[in-house]
Amino acid sequence: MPASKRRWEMSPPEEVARLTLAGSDSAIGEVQAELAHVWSAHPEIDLVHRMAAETALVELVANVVRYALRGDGAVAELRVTLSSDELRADISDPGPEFTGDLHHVTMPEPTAESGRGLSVIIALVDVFSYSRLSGTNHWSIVRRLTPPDLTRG
Amino acid sequence: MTLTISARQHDERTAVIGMSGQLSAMSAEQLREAVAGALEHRRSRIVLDLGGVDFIDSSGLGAVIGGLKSARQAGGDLRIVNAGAQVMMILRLTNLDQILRVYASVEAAVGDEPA
Repeated sequence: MPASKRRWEMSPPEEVARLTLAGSDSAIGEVQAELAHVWSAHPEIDLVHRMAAETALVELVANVVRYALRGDGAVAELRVTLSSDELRADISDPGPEFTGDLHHVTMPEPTAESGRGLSVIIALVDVFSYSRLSGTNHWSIVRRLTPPDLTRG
Repeated sequence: MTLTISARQHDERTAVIGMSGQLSAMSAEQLREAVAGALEHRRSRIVLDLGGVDFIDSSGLGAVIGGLKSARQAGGDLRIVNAGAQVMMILRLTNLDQILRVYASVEAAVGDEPA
């Protein structure tokens, strides 16, 4: 489809959510409540993108809560930004360094009861990155908001 | 967000476990207990009605797999009905749609005997 027919113009990223997350399961509910506000303020975001982005972010937050926020009073910072072509979430936490390799994560066998978190994130986002800087973990996920392909059934 | 769960005996072999809310790490234990309760009452065919579940994560999925394995070990099966869009998305991308049967209704799930 020619770009001129997409009515899809670039816009600079806008911060749509910012949260401080404590190390408890309620962090996930807080993130989802915040995303609910984002979705209601931006109905132009296709349902497929919403489901994928929310699922990926919930998995990432669950991992951070489980592995990084075990210390007394430890918190993580979440920032969600939106532009016309992508939704991005950045989380920084003070937990131990992640020593795995995001390039070599595979989906467990269907009968496995755990270990799917990272592979679910990888399957749902276009960018999943990790870096360690000054004793802090930095996680980023990006879901590109490509227009729905109307030529497909 | 919590999960509301109810279990009823459909017939002498089948229990229907209905859930609404979110199926995640916080609620996975409730599902495990409901499946164990059905198996204790000799209902090894378990129909999981996910009609009210609007979100599932990998921990919730792990609990479903655990229930499936328990039911099959007891000589039965676990079948899913009324899966919403997000649940179906997760089942497909984790390849679980290959081992978990998904049906449109409780009647269809109960009526489909294994070959």
